[in-house]
Amino acid sequence: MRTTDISTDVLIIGSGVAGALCAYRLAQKGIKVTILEAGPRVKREEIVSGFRNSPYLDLSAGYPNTPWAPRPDWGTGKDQYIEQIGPEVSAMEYLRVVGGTTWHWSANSIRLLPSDFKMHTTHGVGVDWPIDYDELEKYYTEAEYEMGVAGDDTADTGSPRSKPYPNPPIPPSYSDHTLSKKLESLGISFIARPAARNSRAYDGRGQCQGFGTCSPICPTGAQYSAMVHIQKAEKLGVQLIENTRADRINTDSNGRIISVDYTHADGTRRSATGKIVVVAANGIETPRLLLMSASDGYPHGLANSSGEVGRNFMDHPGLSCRMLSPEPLYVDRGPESIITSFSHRTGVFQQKRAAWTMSLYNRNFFHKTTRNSLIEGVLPPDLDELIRYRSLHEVEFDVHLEQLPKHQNGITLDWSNRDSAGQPVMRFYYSLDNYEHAGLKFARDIFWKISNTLQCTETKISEAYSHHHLMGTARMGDKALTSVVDHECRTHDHKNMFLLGSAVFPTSGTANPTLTIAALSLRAADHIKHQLTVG
Amino acid sequence: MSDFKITRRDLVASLVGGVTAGLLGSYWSKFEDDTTLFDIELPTSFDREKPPFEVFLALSKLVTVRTSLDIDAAKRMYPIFMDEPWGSQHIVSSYTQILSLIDLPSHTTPPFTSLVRGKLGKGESWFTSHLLTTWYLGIYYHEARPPVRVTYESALMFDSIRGVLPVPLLESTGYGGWTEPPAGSKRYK
Repeated sequence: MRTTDISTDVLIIGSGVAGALCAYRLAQKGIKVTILEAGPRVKREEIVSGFRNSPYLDLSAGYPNTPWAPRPDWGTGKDQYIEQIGPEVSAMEYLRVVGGTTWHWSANSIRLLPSDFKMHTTHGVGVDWPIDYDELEKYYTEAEYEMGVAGDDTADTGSPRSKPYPNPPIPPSYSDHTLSKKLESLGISFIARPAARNSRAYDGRGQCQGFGTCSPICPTGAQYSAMVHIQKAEKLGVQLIENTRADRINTDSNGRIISVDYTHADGTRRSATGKIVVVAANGIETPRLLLMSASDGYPHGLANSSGEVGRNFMDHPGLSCRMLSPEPLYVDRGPESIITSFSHRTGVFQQKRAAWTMSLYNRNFFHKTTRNSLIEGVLPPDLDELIRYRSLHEVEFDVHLEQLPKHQNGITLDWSNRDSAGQPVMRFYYSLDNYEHAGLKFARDIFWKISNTLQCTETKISEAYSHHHLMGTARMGDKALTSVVDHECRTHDHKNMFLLGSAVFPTSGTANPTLTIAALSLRAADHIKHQLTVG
Repeated sequence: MSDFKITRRDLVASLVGGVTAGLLGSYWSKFEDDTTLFDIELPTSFDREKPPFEVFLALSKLVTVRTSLDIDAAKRMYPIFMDEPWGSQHIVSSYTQILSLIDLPSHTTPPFTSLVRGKLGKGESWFTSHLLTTWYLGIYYHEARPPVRVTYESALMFDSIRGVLPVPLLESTGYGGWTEPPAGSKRYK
């Protein structure tokens, strides 16, 4: 039995956007909250410097990867942290630092569609959520105001709104404007993408300055990160203990959570207690912790009487297309992506084919362009001319594809192998089905039409890749037999444990998950407060 | 040391011959009229077992076709290249071969390209390409070693876009500055 040195009302594991918003909301109501965060605190300027000094180019390269809180690391080649055993590889990236992965997200803050909550009822595929859009709308609005979302009130996103966006839309770039006009003939229309990026000074943060490096890092903090609410929560008295990894959750014989064992970076082992425990890690680390907490009473892990913990993993498979425009477009100025197309986001086709959203990227290609040109054997000063030409003329489109839940997609634990923190290695199975492949094929066809319409050359379409959205592995549902948490995000099996984050999503939709995570977290905070009050 | 003055046209032609003979036609055509003096100092006597930094720097200038390079970046690269297998040998042999090609008595007489084409050895051709890659990307890559960031802001790939596009993590447009073509864009199509 470990010494217990933390006793609180609500013990939250994880300091990403879910944990931060929940902690802040509870602290506003006068509830005592403690957050355990496995990773260290980081400073923005250190991350910027970290990227400039790193030889790796992945989104996580500038962030710490500590032995006591390791994470996937694709920059170095094949990741060793998660063993991929399926036919497809999902090269997921996430951070284990205070503030979590919102350090390197792209701020896309799109609401799910009402039909996304009722996929089975509407299209006969996937499952329904136990809540509908209307129940979450109030919290979507609250989340948008907390995060400072910039959006266009006149644009029809398909998700009805009760209030205007807190901030006006980010203006489109020259390339956005030029290309979107030309693509109208293909029936593809673009709107300003709702984004948690300051289009004006808001909530103590400055206006976006257009560095164009939203992911991996916004150098100014104009883009929202969970640090905003970590700092607010700490001002309200929330205790955040960094470098403290939760190893195991313990129950009593009635299934009540009684403690959480943790290990500090210096090797100190203790335990913490909370009247309510909230696991807000992410779609991988949350199910992992539940599975690692298996005991005689719960041999398959906590909250897992359904056998669904770690299962039903969904990503938003991506597909990108790069091409050279005959006219200069000057991308890589301004935010990473400003406009998006919802033209193929929903429809009766979803009975058979995955929906997707399409974005026009403002992302720089200098390294890839230069490397390809060097491989082609081009030398200076021709090389300089070629890099310049391609940089000014190159454009990239990207689609976010919906993915259906499938039981076999997800993680299991390999207790015979341990990571640097001594925890069992995760084995990850991932595959795409005909539904997703049909969506990818349709996207490829559209890419070629776009290329032809724009009279582009050197058109290259990527293989499918991960958007690092980790969803579905502890899903929400009305029935304890088929789901892990109820409609309030409380586990069916342990009444004083809540799970937050995209792990609880029953279906993926096409919206980037963060705004929905934020809305669900604010909503869960109300339920947690109620449970603490009435018992 | 000796002052060495040739034209960019001649230097380019020398390098092209060794590395990318196939691209020579189009490459040469753009610079055959470029008589800008390429004026750098070249070490003439040095320890061939352990070539000094000055040789590495001069070789870097020849390969990148630049009279000026970031000295701090060069100083970070030098020990890394010296430490790689056959690194010092490659520095010396590449340097001396390029000098010998540039020094051909008939180098100003067209068709110069036929004189230098393919004259760099296989190892020297690989090495100069390796050096060029490092200077342009700012990252040292070698199959036997982990990559090393040697410079960010001085990576030569950014030379191509300075004044037109912001260098990532270093420059920005200011709010809304992305809505119109960049001010410096008129220089380029």
